Amino acid sequence: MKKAFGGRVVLVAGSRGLVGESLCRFFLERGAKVVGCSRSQATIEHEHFHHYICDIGDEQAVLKMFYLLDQAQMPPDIVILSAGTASRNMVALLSSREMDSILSTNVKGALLIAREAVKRMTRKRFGRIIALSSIRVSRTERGAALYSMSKAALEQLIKVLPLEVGDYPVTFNAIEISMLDDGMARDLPKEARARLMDSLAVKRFCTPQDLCNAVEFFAKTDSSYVTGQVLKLGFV
Amino acid sequence: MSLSTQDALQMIYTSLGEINAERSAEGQLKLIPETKLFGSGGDLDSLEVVNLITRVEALLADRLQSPVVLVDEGAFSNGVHPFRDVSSLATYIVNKVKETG
Repeated sequence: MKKAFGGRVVLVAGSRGLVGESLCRFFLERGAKVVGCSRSQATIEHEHFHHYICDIGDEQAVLKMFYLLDQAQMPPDIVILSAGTASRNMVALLSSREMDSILSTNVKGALLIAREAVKRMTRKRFGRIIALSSIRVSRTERGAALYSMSKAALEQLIKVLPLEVGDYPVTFNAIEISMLDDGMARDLPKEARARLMDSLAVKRFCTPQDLCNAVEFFAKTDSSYVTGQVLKLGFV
Repeated sequence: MSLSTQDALQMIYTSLGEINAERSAEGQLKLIPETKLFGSGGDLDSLEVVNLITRVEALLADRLQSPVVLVDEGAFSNGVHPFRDVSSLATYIVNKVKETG
């Protein structure tokens, strides 16, 4: 039986951790070739999984990865911008170094990956770019300024890109994730976590399956009319 | 690493040929050095310029066996828009390859 994403190449930028790894396995199970990239070694072994150690904020590293993918005849059809670094310092306490670090990964890295992917997707006349954003864009919180700003920038990128590709069948969408039961949520102060949970429409953690389901919708070939959208997952 | 102007022109013509394939018979771009590309009187729309650059970058990467980004901070620094016409783009590409070493 033909698998849903058979023949597709999926690049997961930020392939480690609960989200990245879940997405890689999700697409592997559905027949895709999956390319993961992260700053450290791969955590997945699979005949159709390829991994690059790549700091996505480093232009040369990103260029090299895409070049190697071209050489391997694997320019990505679907890109998931999953890499992200969190920051919980209040603005008055933010160091310049922390600002550079967060913005490099969450904003510049996403831009570099999107730039190289779009070039290839317009040539191939197919592409899906799905950015993983955060509830922190819609719901602000003390200490979330830098992280919220970076994710808001990512969402803006997703809204502008459709205007730049014209009629090409390449779509761009983002998902604001409510709260996953991962390291980021566990690091939140108990009260803040309870407050956030109470504000959700669906009062439970977002599971990797919830997220994969939403990503799958945007990634499907049939979703060609859905672009420039930001989906709030589990909240309104 | 070096690239002749003729090689650069050929890459641009190949890329324009691909763009022509998507244009009507009346809208075909002439494959000559004088063809205006972008800016005042340019024959390409902004999407086609992106496509042209992307296609040339791919051809260059194959030729040089390394990744190439044509548009960078230096692209517009000498006051002459490198994408004004085919000839200026060819010159820009040749110089870019020289810089890359």
